[in-house]
Amino acid sequence: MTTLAPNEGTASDADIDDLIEPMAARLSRAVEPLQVAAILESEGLNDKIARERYGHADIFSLAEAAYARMVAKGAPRPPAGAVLRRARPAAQMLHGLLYGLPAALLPAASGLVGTEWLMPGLVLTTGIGWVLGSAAAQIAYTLMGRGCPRSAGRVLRTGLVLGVGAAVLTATVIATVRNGPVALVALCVMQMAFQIASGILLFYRREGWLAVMMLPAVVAGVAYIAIGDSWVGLLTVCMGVVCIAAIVGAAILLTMAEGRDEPAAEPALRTLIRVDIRGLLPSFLYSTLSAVFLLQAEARYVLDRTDLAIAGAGLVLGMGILEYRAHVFEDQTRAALRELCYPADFTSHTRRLVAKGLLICLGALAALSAVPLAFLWATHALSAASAAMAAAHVTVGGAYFLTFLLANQGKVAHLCVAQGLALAVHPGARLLLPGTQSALADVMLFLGAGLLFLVILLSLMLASLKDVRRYR
Amino acid sequence: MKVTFVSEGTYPFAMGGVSVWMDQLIRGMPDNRWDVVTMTVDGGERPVWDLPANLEQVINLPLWKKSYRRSTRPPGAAFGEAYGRFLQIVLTPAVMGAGSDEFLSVLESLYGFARDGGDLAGALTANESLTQLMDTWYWNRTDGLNLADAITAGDLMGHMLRPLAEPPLRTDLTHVAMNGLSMLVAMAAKWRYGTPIVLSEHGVYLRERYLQYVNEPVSHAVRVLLLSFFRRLAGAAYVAADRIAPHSSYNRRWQLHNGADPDRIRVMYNGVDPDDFPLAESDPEEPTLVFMGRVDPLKDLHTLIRAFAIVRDKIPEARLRIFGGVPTGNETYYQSCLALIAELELEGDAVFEGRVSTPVAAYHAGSVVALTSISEGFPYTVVEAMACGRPVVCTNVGGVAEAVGDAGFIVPPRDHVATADAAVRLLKDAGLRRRLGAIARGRVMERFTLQQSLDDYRGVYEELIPAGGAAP
Repeated sequence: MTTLAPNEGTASDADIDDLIEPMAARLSRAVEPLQVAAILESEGLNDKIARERYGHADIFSLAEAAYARMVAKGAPRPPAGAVLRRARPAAQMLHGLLYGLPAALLPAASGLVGTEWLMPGLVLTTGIGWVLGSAAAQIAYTLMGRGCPRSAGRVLRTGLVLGVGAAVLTATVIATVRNGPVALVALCVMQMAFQIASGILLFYRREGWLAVMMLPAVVAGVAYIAIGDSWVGLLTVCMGVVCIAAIVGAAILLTMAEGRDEPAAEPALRTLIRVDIRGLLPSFLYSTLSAVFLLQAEARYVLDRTDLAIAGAGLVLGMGILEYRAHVFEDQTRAALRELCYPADFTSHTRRLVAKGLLICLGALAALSAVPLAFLWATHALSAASAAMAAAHVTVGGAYFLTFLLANQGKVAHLCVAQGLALAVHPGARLLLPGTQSALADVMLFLGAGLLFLVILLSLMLASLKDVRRYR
Repeated sequence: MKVTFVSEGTYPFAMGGVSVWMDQLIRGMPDNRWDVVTMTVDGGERPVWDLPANLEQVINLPLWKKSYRRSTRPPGAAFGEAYGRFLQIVLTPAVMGAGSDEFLSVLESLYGFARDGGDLAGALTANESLTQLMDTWYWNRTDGLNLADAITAGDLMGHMLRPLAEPPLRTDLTHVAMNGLSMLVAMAAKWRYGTPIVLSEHGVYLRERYLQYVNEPVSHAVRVLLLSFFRRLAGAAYVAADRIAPHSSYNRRWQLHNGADPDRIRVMYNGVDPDDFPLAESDPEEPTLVFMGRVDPLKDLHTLIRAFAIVRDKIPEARLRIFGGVPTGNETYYQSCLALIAELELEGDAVFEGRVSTPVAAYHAGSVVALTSISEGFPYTVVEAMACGRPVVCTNVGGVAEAVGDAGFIVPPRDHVATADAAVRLLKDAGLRRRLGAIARGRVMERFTLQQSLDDYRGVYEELIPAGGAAP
């Protein structure tokens, strides 16, 4: 390196280039000359070197020269980090179908359990599993966010055990009190095990595993529908038990494997949960209210109006699409924050995104709901009530899309209030108003409750978009 | 006299040099009564020190707690006017601290807003403030700032300005252990009660932020805003402080460059109690290089390990013993050190000994004490080793050269060859070690004893509060 005599003047551009070149990556992040001085000092330069080698009075003067040189050369700054993208089209859109895979086993299972026990058992376990599974998943997501994957795994495992335990308990009570078959307990346990274990696989983004492991049972279920032989039915149920057991095993292994390689010990789970549990209570309440809202509307028809019970199947199949579109909206708002400058522009832009997302969700759900309606039409079971039930589910599905968006903004208390108001209409008003005992009137009331829910959530969402900081 | 002692992330919630110094000062002035205000992360921290009897209260002031409620109301015209001036000053390049008086007055306006019940943190990310930021940015600069950057910067500055929203303590004097956010506590007490301020700087707060933000994963625009804010805050702190106490002449340079009044500056060195660090009576059986301190990238242990590889080539029986704990978050760095030891085939000869209860045992265990940091203030470990009569090999950073003088070798940072050459020279020459060790002990007794340090500070306190009364 060139050494200048004190009266030889300051260093040339070439000398400064030689100085900054080895530390160009760090210097490119400097915002002003003083930061360059700090970086130069951390590399071992000092006032003495600045004077003797570069002819500057001190390190600050040398840093000024180095910074000016970097600006003159237009040194490239490191690119900003990539924007996180959460939307995974194929995997997320398949979630609804994956949740619905056990439906292929239902005809065979009903042969063993009896139709009159099958549907109440399913409604019961779905409700309990919905609340327990979502509570466990929310705690687990919070723990993952705090860098505690092992504790998150423990929570998910505990949710699985509690869910299966709750299924055993409630199904046993029903079977004992109402003289139900022992097979009812087995059915509830398997349904609950699948529901929570499949949720765990999706939590860890293992959609492929779930599809592959459930495939043999689905094939057997379809074979039973085609053949109708009771031995095939028994074989199908056995195949289902094996597949669900494999899914449960995989879920448990995943929860145990996650974070195993992390070197740092995690705080005690009780300590971790204590911090967050109060904040999560509204989420648990919302899960419970939404499960009650949807299941109570369907439960009353599972025994004698199967057409109404299956009319809403489009919502189950479309849940993955709602989830995917919610992630797309998140990705688009994050991108908008990086493209736009002013809050007012962001609000108007994202309102258009909400409208687009909602219309796509309603359209997709309507298309999926056409499938069960077509089946009902083909079997001469299509009625005004079943069409209204399908419309209600489409409406509720649109509302669910908005609940995903609002929950991401932490507006869970608002969701509870909105869901509470919808519950006040259905079943609340049903209990008070005369003339709502007919299926059509009841379903129309449910449709009205769904519309109210949708409108409230849309209003909340449009207002929320004014508060730009929530969308970081 | 009652003193408020303010720091960020140290006593009594963490170990380290600043915490040692604060404990020394509180215990060393038993006639004074003390309140300690410590800025922490989330308020969940617990003291790791035994608190002295004259420490009356410890106030934990969390900066990053998430559960503060944000006001959704617009912050109002008065805030808008103050924030406009804040942004204009922050985005104006400062020359030698010019404009620091005005920035101090802006901070006082923001304090007034918070004192009158305004949500200061929330106001910085309100839509009106984001719009102001955009307007000011593009008036002053041509490079890009997007909405995401603006929200991030506003949110971070909102957290950092939290001390302005706390009611100030009424005591005779505020002693601030470091520049930066801690000074906001002292400024508020000065505005409210006229309390005089003593500002100590062990390292240079602004310089440390400059180095920290080289590697922080934020965009260039956020880096510009935050570092400009820190630079302005440091300048305003030098205006507000009645006495400025750099812990080395090296720090003084930075303070003067940022506009500090030289008449208010008193260089104060850290001191140790010689009785706690007695002379080592003998050398270890094998030539041993010792490091004492936390395992941290700033200590650049990679350079030390590489230097030791050269040392062992020349002195096969040489040993490297690294004493000190691995702080949470530094586990990866620790693993990288172990990997380097394995790569250089130094296992068994270079050893991590873990945390020690008495540092003196570590100094006595070595023939030579090494410190290869890339950034330091005025490190205790060097003074303590010197008090034990150990020669040192240190990098030329911060006030290290002032501490060592001619009692050891000073080498450039990140230069493992120079470190190794100095260490080999000392390890091979017992006479040189004894001579430098004696000089080291003498230098500590002459300049760096605890009693001298306490007397210096007592003198500064009495300049501001004569005879234990109120400020003049």
